Amino acid sequence: MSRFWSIFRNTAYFRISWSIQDSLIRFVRSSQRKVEIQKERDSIRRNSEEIIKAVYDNDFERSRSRK
Amino acid sequence: MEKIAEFTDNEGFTVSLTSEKIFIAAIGQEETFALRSVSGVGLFDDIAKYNRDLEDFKGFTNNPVPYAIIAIGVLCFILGMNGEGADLVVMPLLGLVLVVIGLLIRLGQKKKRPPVLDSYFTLMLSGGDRRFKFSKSEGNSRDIANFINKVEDTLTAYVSK
Repeated sequence: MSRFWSIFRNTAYFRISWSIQDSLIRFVRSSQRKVEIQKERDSIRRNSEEIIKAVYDNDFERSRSRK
Repeated sequence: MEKIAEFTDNEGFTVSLTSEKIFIAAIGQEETFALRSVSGVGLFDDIAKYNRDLEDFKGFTNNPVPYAIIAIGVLCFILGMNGEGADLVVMPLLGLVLVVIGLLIRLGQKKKRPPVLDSYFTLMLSGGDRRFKFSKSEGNSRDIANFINKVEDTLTAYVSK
């Protein structure tokens, strides 16, 4: 019977440690993703003038007729 | 049949519109679609890629390394002029070389062309969509706009007013 509880304890430790590692990895990855998204947003905001010019200030937009 | 509109995209496809059909042609490839199979048109500007290219461009052209090299070169030149013996020859020469290298790098920075926004024109056909890459700032963009305008004129509602 004591062997059963020993295996039970080891498995529980394993599962808990796995879950903690998993949540740590998930936290790091999601933080990295959030930082990347924020960086891209900031960069788009910084370059907004050039982007708007490239999208709208051209012969293509002037020739489009939206009826 | 008389051509109503035509354009050539950045990948070499020539797309022509007549009153009944759309012809798509490239070297070794030709397709013809009935105008009734066109259900819509789409436009997409790849802003994310343009923004990345713009960041790279700004990072490259605003890099202060050539200015630092020129400054070190000038410093070497001045120190060499005040030196004695071999320093009098080596240091100004080194300074001159560094200034030239710095100027060449700066010239390279100035020569780099700014990025171009990639745009895509999608022709929605009943057999699947066709996508054409083009640039709004290039000469053919007016032809593409005209082509889209003409195709849009053929798109009707169930009850045309």
